Amino acid sequence: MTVWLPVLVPLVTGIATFALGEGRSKARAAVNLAGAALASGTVISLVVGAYSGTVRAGEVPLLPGLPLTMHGDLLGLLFSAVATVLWGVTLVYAIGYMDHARDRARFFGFFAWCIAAANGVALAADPLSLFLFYEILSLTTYPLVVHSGTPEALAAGRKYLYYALGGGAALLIGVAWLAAIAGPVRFTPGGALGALSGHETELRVIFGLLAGGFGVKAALVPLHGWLPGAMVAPAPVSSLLHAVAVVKAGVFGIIRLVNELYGPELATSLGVAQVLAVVAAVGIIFGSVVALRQDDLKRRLAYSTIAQLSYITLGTALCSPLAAAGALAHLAHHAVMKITMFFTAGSLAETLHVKTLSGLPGVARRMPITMTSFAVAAFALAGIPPLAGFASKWMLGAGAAEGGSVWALLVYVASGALALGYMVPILTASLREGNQPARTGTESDPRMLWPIVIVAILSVVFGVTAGMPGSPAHWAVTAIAPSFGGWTP
Amino acid sequence: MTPLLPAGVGRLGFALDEVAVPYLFLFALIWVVSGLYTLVTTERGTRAHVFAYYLPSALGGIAVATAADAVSFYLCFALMALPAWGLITSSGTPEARRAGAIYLTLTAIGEALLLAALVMLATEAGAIHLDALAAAFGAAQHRDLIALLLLASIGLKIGTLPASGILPLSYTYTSAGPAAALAGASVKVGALAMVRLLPAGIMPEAWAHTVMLLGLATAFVAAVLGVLTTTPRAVLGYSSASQMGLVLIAAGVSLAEPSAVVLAHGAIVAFSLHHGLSKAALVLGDDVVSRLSGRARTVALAALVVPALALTGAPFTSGFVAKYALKDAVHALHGPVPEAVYALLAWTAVGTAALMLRFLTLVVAQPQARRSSGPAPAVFWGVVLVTGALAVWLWPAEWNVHAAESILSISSIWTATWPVLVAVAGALALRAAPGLRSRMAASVVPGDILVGAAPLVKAADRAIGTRPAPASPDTRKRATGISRALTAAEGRVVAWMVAATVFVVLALVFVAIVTR
Repeated sequence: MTVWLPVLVPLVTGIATFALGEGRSKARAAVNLAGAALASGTVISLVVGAYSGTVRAGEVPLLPGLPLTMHGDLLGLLFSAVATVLWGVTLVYAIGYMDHARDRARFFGFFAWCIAAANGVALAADPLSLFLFYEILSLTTYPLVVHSGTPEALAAGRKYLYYALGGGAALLIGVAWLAAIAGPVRFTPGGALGALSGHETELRVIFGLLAGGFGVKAALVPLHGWLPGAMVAPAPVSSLLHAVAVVKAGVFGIIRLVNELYGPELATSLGVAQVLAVVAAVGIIFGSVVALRQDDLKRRLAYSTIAQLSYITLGTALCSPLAAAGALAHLAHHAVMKITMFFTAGSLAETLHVKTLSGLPGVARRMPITMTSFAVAAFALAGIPPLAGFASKWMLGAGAAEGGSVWALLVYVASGALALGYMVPILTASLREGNQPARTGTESDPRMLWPIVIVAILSVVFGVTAGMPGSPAHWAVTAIAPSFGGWTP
Repeated sequence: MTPLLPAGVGRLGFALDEVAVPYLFLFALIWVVSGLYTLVTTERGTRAHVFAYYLPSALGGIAVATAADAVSFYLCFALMALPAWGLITSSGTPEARRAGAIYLTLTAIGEALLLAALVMLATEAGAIHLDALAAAFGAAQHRDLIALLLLASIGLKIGTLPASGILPLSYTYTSAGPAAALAGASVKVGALAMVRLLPAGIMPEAWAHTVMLLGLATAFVAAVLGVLTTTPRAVLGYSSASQMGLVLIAAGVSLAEPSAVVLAHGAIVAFSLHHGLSKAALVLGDDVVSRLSGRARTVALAALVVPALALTGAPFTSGFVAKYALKDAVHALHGPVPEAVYALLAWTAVGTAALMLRFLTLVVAQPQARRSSGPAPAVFWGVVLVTGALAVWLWPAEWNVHAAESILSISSIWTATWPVLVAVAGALALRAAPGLRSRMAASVVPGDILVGAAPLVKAADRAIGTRPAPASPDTRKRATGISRALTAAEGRVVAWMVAATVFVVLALVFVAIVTR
């Protein structure tokens, strides 16, 4: 039963939010925050159990012979914890950000359902269950992307839906085809398809379909088109898309696919992992270079996300244990770094109406705490020790070198330099002298200020504690080890 | 197996070994004294701004001497190099900002190369301690690639050809105190990396020869470029690049021949101490002179000749010791290339002497611009000056013994003196041709090809970019039009591509399923 709670709690929170209606904003805030706290509590209790070896599992019949299965393994729980804990932080921010917005019940309700779906993706124990939650996630995200209702937002939403449903279709075919040749399979560390032989070509095509389906949300180039467009959505939605749940569901799907469905060995011997690695490497360089040229702050961050997600995909596709662990750790590390940045972009837009690099001069003086937090996240993303991005980049790079893929290491360090290239201009522009409206009281709404500080501190803590039990990096190593036959670093 | 940041990045390793001690002495002295100099010479209003960058840079710059593992070394290196951007751009002028941008770009590339090398070495070693990395080098699978990455990273730091421009760029627009720290300490981290990280005595001879020749070429070319520039600071920048070329020769010596490693490392340390302190004294002295008038100015100018002579390696100066250590190291190698390098070493002193003459002429010609700010700047300068003159002689080490023994022999005094005389003669000859002189001067912009490359990069960016160029309204309109068309096209192409792919794939899959 416990394993269902991370899905059920946000689901019920969403229902309650809709039931409360538009007017009762205090009660809505209380219900949502309580829901986030409760969900985080259940995830943490599952994590404590999983660390000591008790993996909770559950299943309910869905169709004859097709049960919906869930299990709280460390791998899934890492994503689940990221989504659930950052849900709470984003709620505080969103309550401040959406203070005067309309349709807030709809916003918070769908937000909660997105988290329910993301937790479903995280904890699903078989490909079909994962597919179902993945589709629900697509559908529940759509109302958030189009929330403002402007023609621009509707266009972005349409684009998102086309991509998401296209990806979903590919995924469905892949899952069904796999079920046709392999029967019911569960995610198993090290791979669940070992017994299949003589189906090599079909397995390659199925891998392509599944990776393509997940690749849409993971913004694998050239399936990335929807992501820069979706930045018209409000800032809390951007952080949901980029950091908390949506794109992470895509890369998480790829992690499950490579490590626990095909398994590193089969993925390598079929040659599909190598193809995926090359695609991801192209995405890293493409995203980083395009990000260099964006004047719009959120667009710049969006292309950075494309590059960073490909970090995770590349690390997974290298099929070397340390790189795979680094990829999983980066899922959490990137989440806290990128959420800091989107929170900052939202604060600047909401407080000072600054949305572009050319509007930044004077911002650092006007909003010092916000910009300091942003700077921490920016340097973390560029991989400056001892921040979070360095820890994952070190693991990814060392894993690449260990697996003999020196080219991937060079891609990683090159993109680190490029990350400095697209992040530092934001900082230097904000440090220039410029005219910004004078401040009244705190530099921005405290409900928007403190979440930024908290996630920025997490970007430091995750890096400094990497290697200590319970830190995302250590957690990732523990979670990935079974896929490589109990490897320890 | 690779250690996974044991206990996180929290367990950074720092240690004091025999390499760390001289570098800690040098870095701490220069960062602290330059910091005090900055404190007394910066206006109250801008102090907070300058020190917001100076202090983190100083922390990294001092701690890097004792960094004992790959992560702490990389951390300190980044902590020192990145905030220096704020020191370079603190004047806020367009030139300073351009210099800052070029500096930051090259630093980011250098950091990336260093990180790649460190990660690969740590993977080979299964540990991150620097000793373990050095030990793993010999058997490393990608030994040549790692060595190349390290040399490129160090080269970017110390201004090896073709990147010599990075040093004059980073000195020219920086105020005196921070510039002294960059010149005296920051650049020397490249020398520290040579001792700590480069493979010692295990590379093929061709590597040693190539690196030595590259160092020699840098020593000469940077000297020529420097003589052609027009500000004292730019001359000093090229002089640093030239001197670090000599240090690179020592690094080249250490690469291949195991028996020469100790001598070569000694020469690198000697050069770091000598050049770091002398260069900081020259940067500060230029500023002190400009604050003085009358007799005090004359005295200061006379004192400024001491570090200038030291750079040329004149007898009784710190440079004499450093040159001796370098010559001993090169002499330990045999063959045509080392012997040619050995023979040409003396001639590099001619270039240095010419640079120093150019520097002193420019300082003398500089009008007294700023008002005096009491005796404090001169006192701090004096500390660096005196330490620089004495430290290299008194340091308890092997590398100054030979110099101390030979200082009273006529032949070694002559060897150290004639290059200065040649340069003076050349300068006097050039005096007779004022037209030629004025044409030559100012033919080099600080940063040379790096500054030349910047507009190319911008143009390329504009050609493909989506950011409108801040040019004339006409070009702006055109650029926006093109970029808009490109953006729209990208969106459409991607959307159609995905839609088409999905349909084709779906069709194929259904055909496949139906015909099963």
